[in-house]
Amino acid sequence: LQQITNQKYKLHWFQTEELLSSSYLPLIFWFFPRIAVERSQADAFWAVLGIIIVGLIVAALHAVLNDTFPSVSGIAMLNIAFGKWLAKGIGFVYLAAYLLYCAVCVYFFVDMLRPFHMHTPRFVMIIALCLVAMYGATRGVETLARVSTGVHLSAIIGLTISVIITFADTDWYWRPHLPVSWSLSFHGVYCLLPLYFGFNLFLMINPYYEHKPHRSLAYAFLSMVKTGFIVMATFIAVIARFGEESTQNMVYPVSSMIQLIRLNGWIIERVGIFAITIVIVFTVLFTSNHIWALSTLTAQSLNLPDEKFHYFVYPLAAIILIIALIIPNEDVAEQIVAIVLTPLVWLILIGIPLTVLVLGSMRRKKHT
Amino acid sequence: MTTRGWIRSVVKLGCSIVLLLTVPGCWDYQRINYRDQIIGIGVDPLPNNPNQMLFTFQIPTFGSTSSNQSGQGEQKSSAASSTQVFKNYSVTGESFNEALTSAQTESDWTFFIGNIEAIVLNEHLTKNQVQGLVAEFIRTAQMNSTTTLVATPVSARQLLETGGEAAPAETINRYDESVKQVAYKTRRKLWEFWRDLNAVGIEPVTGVVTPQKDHLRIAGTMVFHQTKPEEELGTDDTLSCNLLIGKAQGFSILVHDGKQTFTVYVFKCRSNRSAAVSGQGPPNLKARLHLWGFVEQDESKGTLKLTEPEMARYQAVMAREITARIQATIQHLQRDQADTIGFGRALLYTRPDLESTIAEEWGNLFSTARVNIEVKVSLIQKGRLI
Repeated sequence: LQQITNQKYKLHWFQTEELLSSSYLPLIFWFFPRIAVERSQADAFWAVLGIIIVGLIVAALHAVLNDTFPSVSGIAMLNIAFGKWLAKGIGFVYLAAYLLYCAVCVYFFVDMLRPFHMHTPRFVMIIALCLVAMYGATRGVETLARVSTGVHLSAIIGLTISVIITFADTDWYWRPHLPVSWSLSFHGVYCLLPLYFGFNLFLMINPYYEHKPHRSLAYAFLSMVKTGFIVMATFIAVIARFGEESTQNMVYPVSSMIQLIRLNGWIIERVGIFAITIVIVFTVLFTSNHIWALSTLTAQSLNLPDEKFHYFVYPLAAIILIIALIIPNEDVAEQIVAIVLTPLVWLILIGIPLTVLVLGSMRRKKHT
Repeated sequence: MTTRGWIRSVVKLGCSIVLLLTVPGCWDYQRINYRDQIIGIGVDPLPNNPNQMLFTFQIPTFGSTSSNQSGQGEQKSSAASSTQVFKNYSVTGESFNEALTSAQTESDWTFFIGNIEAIVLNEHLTKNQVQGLVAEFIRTAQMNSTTTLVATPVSARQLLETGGEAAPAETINRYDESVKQVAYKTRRKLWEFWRDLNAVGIEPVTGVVTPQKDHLRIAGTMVFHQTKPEEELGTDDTLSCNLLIGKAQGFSILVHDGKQTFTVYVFKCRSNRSAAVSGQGPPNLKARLHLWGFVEQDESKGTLKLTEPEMARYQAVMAREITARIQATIQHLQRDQADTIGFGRALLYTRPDLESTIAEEWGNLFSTARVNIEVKVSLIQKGRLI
């Protein structure tokens, strides 16, 4: 009986894929078309296409890493590659980066909702969102995975419907064309990787799903292809509706595109706002996922079993809440993304996983 | 219950109480009965003061409550006994939000701008005034950006006071959204106008509204050069523009063939525009149109059966007439150096490297461009008993 209780809960394939999919995107999703146009100008489309390809590489890297070191996660994986103390140091970098990341995500989302609640102080909405997210995180990975199957699917369906309606009613102020400048396209790709910040959660749920052949690769690719489709469709819908010139002048162009959707005479006329309501639930789930992952990572760093994660849920949620409250305006939040999180995401999503894979494989061979 | 269980329950209860506060909408809760919903905004220039504008805010009033409110320029429509009554506040200001703040001093009900139905711009506003106004409207977060935007050759205040069975702002919006016929009117939402202001290779336009004795006439197009209201296009030119952008639908047109005439109902129209530049020569513009329609009244007035060769002739005659109409309109637009159709954008799609040239010199290039129009007409004639 003790053995059974000690066994980790194994997620269904759909739960794994949905949990993974609901753990990235929100950081810059609401304004990534603007970043693409600002950084790559006429080549914004190629930058978005480029980031989707980079996303597939990130997915492959994480899948191979999970399959190379099955049934370990977080610090244990870093231990194999870097040794005990360096692993703790890198684990701390992950923790700090993800706390900042979650806080900025919460801030952007609440800021995006501001026009709907002009007189409500921002701190009230931040506290409300963090409280629900914190409660979600205390329920553990099983509950989060179950919830994500419904919530993420609803959010994706809502977004897809919004994009389809936009395509049906747009004047097409954009057409694809060959790249004008490769350097600008690559610069756009560099600045858009924060879209996939959060994908590391795949490493944390490594012990929680069954490792059958090619399963990890299938989860990661399915999630990334689905996300890539949404990213590209959303980008084209925004740019076709507003044109490149106006997209540059909008704070949250994706939100603006969704809010313009009106179906006169239908039961819900402002369909766009309905879609945004679903996205609120998605953002709460996303924050819960990361609070759970960070709590588990902290427990591992202190040599505690994963099940003791709930000791750290409240303090970590409080830190996210405080950072989100400290950010004074969206300019500062965007500066944090551009100066801190963008370089960090290349290190965290590609640099460190690649090093872990190479060093870990070499060390394992040496021992065997 | 254990101590840990108690702590958990207290934390859960605390969280639930805090979250319950958010249910009624937090600080944004407001009783709907205490709202003054602005449904229309009119903006006029002040002749003696180029920095100031006259803003007219239109608010619907319901039942007896209207008698308790007062404001400058207050007016009730002719249907005073029904609920279709409105009142107007007119105030001067340098900007929209400043004027709104001033107007609020005359009402103890909070102005709400999330449901504005129409914005009327006087065509004598200056370039800077239009630029500033549109930018401010878009920046104002509570503003409804799907509001219908129109221009008027007369005073916007006067237009918003035109009597009828409904508030003029409501009439303008309803005409824009409910009337499916797109022929002699131009539809523009606030956000679309703002998009066209920013866009390279296209000039922004709006519909035109003029007050009649007891109703509003909504027809024609106001062409803006950048942000300056420049010229009013008549109904024929408006129809050609709607055909060129592929939006014309649901209208009947009289086609002339020598002394004979026949009527066609056009139910669908599609267009494809392209532009190209080669060397130092003028740009080549091309528009291909396809119209689908029913023959409603033939030349024999129904006395003879239409044969296939006759239908082919009708199609050729109609294509020729539409081509001539469109060419005349494009020449008109070329004289004004105003590309309201978006040929400049079509060029931008194929030559993104020319963006700065198109942004700076397109008006001039457009005026010298060679234009090739191809029109295809598909007609059917079927009787139906219902």
